[in-house]
Amino acid sequence: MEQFLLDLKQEKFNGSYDLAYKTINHLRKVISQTRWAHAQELMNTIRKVGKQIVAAQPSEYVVGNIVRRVLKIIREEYVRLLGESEESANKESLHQMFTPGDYEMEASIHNISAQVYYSYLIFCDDSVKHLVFLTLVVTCKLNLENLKKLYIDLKANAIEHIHSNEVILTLGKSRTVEAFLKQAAKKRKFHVIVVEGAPLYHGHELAKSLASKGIETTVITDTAIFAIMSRVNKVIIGTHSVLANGGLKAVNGAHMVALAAAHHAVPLIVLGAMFKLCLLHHSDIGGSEATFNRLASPQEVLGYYDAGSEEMTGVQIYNPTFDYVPPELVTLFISNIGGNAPSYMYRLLSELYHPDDHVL
Amino acid sequence: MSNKRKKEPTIKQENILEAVVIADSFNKRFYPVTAERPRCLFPVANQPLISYTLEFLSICGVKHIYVYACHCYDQVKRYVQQSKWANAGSPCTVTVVCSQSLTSVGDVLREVDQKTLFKTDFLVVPGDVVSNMQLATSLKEHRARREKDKNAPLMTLVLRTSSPTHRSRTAEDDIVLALDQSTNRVLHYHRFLKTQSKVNFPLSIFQGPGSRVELRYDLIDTGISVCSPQVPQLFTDNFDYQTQYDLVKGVLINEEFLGNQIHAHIEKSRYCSRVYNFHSYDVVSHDILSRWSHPFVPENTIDEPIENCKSGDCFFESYSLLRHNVYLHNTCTLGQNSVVLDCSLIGRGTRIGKRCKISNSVVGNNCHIHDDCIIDGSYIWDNSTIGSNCKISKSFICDGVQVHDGVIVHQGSVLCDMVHVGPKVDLDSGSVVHLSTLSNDDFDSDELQETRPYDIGELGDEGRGYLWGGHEGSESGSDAPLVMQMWGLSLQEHNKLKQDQLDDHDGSESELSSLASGDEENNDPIILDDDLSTFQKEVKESLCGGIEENIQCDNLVLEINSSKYAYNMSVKDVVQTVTRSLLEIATDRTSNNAHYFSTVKKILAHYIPLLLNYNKHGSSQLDCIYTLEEFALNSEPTLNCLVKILMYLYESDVLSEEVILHWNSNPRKLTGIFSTEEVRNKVEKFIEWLEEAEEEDSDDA
Repeated sequence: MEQFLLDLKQEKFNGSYDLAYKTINHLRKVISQTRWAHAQELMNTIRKVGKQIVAAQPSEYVVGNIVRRVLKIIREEYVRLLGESEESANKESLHQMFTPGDYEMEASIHNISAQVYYSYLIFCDDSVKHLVFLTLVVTCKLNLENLKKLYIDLKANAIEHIHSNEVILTLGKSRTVEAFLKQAAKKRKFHVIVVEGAPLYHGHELAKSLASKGIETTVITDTAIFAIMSRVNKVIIGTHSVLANGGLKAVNGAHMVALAAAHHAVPLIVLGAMFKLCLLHHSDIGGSEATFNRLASPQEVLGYYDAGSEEMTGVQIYNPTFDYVPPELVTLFISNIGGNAPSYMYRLLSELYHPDDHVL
Repeated sequence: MSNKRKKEPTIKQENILEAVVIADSFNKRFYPVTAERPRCLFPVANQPLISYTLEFLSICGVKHIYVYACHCYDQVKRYVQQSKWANAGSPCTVTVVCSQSLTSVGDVLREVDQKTLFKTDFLVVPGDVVSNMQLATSLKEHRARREKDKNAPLMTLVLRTSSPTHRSRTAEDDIVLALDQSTNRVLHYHRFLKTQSKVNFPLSIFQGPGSRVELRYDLIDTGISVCSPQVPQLFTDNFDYQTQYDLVKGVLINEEFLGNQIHAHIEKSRYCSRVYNFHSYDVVSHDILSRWSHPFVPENTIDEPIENCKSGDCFFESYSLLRHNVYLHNTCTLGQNSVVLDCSLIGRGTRIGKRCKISNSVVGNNCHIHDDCIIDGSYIWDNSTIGSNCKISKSFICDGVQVHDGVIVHQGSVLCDMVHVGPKVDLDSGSVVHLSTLSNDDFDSDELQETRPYDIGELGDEGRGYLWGGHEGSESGSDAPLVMQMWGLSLQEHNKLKQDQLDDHDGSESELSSLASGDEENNDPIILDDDLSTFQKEVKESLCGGIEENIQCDNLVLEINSSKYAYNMSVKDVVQTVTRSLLEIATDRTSNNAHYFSTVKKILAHYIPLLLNYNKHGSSQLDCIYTLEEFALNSEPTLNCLVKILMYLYESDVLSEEVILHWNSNPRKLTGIFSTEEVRNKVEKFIEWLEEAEEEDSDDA
């Protein structure tokens, strides 16, 4: 169990998909290894573990999202097992969504778990518990399967959004964008401009990979973004996560791209799986630099070799990894369940997570 | 965790990577701070130093780490037992090996050999490395080389590039390497000592067919090396090897017949530094706070207990990073109008009063800093208290120190554990205050110490502690002020000092260069000057003792020969050294010019058999006579009686006629107070006499 926490702390994971996969696996283990008698108890355990792993790497929101998603699944399973119809349990109205601490709601949840608990007490039937457990593990597995299917779903949108002879601009390297463009290239012919994304220059890798698939590719420097934007039809970027207001936490330089695109009225399309959608607002995160951004080693900006000379002693070198892009600059958010406007995020959030789980 | 992870270890089971961490420095750089605390447990950015090393190794995929602890080994052991490395879920096993009998890196590796710990390649890592390198590449290179050739590649040194004027450099990092460009084989490795500024490369390294040699002066030895299992054996075979540097030197010299090779891996991009003196402590702390060691940065603290659950609430104790690389712990408090400026870190539960200004500093856990303090470039460890209106700049304050109100601590001061200072005193730059029971010079007089009053005069009325007298007069004897000795010189300072010394001692420098120019024909210039000087010292001592105790010459010959092999000296060096030593002894004994020759004669008479033994051949005799001349050039009494000495040596068959004549007709360019012409003038008559005698001889024939 601890190994996962250490990996998180030392950022030993390969992209957000890998992280999501590992988190689900971790939670699956927790579910199968802990003893619990009723829903509330299991949910409490998951909450406790969730808090731990979220705290281990607060800047990776995917972890918290997965925890909340699993909690939501547990709720749904219980309701289903109790034999109540989903509609009656999911009777949330718009009003209720905005008041998660509603007493009535809380009471109803407690009612459900209480009912389950009493049913155990009365029948003392282990088989019921076993059944619940099985369904949970299966659901988690399904969740993993879904995760694997995710890119396929996402890619399926490609043809709808990329047309022939378009000029597409993208920034850095996102695996989702890469798959998306390659999928579209099977049917359509278009031109991709890749912004190199200093100081990591992941754009170079993307350009290589795209060119190998026969896509017409151009690499430009970060400073040329504004100049070239007038020739671009669409900007497609990946993102680290999507905040609750539809804003983005994306790779360094994304804000500049978004502003240039807005100035030239070029649509900005953001790709990301649903697990990247998180409940946080930019204002929740602000304050401490470390939680929102990730300051990496300055090595890539200016090597240690040169930074040590006498003239450089007073110079500070920063290497931030992320940018915040406000929602008004984003045109469309495409996920595995289709395209949505940033203003629609609140609705997706309410479907994905239960309001009671917003604060773990 | 995932399936992928489970598969990896089973595939690689055959060569589990293991490492030896040497958690002792075997020197006293940090003394007296290290009196009761090993260096590897110093907090660097509020994390014990060794935790960085262990973390770095575990990330590199090392599965078993042997930590060799000597000084204060119980503390190291306790630390490891309480840390996460002792947990069942830890990614690697850490074994602490304790022994106080080990006194050097060589001893550690001999111990490793005794236990035959390793059958495959392993890593040797000093316990004070902070790095985020990936050793995988150097390992791969090493293994590939080993596969090609089973025995030759002995070890791979890991070096980091660093510009020659880099701020992290200290005088100790001054190394120059000759590498084979295509294979990265180390052909020559030289470490500069103190004010040395010359290096000799053996000509042979440039002569190999098609060899492309790189001479590099932009490298820093990280102390990390990938070793083959033969390395510990070599240390056992050569019991005089103390450090890895000795081994490298030894292997390079004997490469021809042992066939061992040493390679280098040069790290260009990742960070790697060692903490081995105050200066490097300062640099490394600063680097960690400027995030060069990412992901090993304070807010990713890895050593805190993972679970700190109280009543169901689980919070990680952690640092938050603010602009300008300021790190504040969640539980620290900052008073009104107090500012923490760039590259600073404030630890857990530390309270800071009003209107303080803290910059470029690290403050440990549970410290209390009162109002109106100015702290710059300083390191304050845990549980210390700083009174109000204090000024502390570029200093080092250890655990539980109490600095009372109004104290000014100047640059380069060190306050050791539990010391009290103040109130209202001014600590001079470079002062070291300690409480340790050992005194500076004599370690035996404990009784005296107990009754010794605290140095209240310097430390203030509430002062508790003693001012450290420093190491002056000990082996270093350098002109550098104490601050410099303690903190270690940064390179710029070092160069300045070097320049000063050159200006001061122009004479000695030219003497050095004359020696060097005399070496032109020498085919074996690998011999280091420091070796030569220790050898000379030893020979002189044996000869001196020989006269006093009237030891037989045969025994002395044996003694000198053994030193000759220990330092790997050539016959030429021995002849020169013996001749010079004899004259030096004579000079030491008499200041009176009149009696000089009689003293010399007495000494020479005693050592005639020895001289005969060494001066069998013409070339040796030549060396002998040139050394005589060189000595005479700088010593008036010797010059005056040089004729008599030559005569005496000629009569006792040490020097042959031909040699003396050859010497006379072929003056070498030697420099000294007197010129070679003066020498020639002095011996003119003797030479004439010799020539006449020769003519007579030939006439007779």
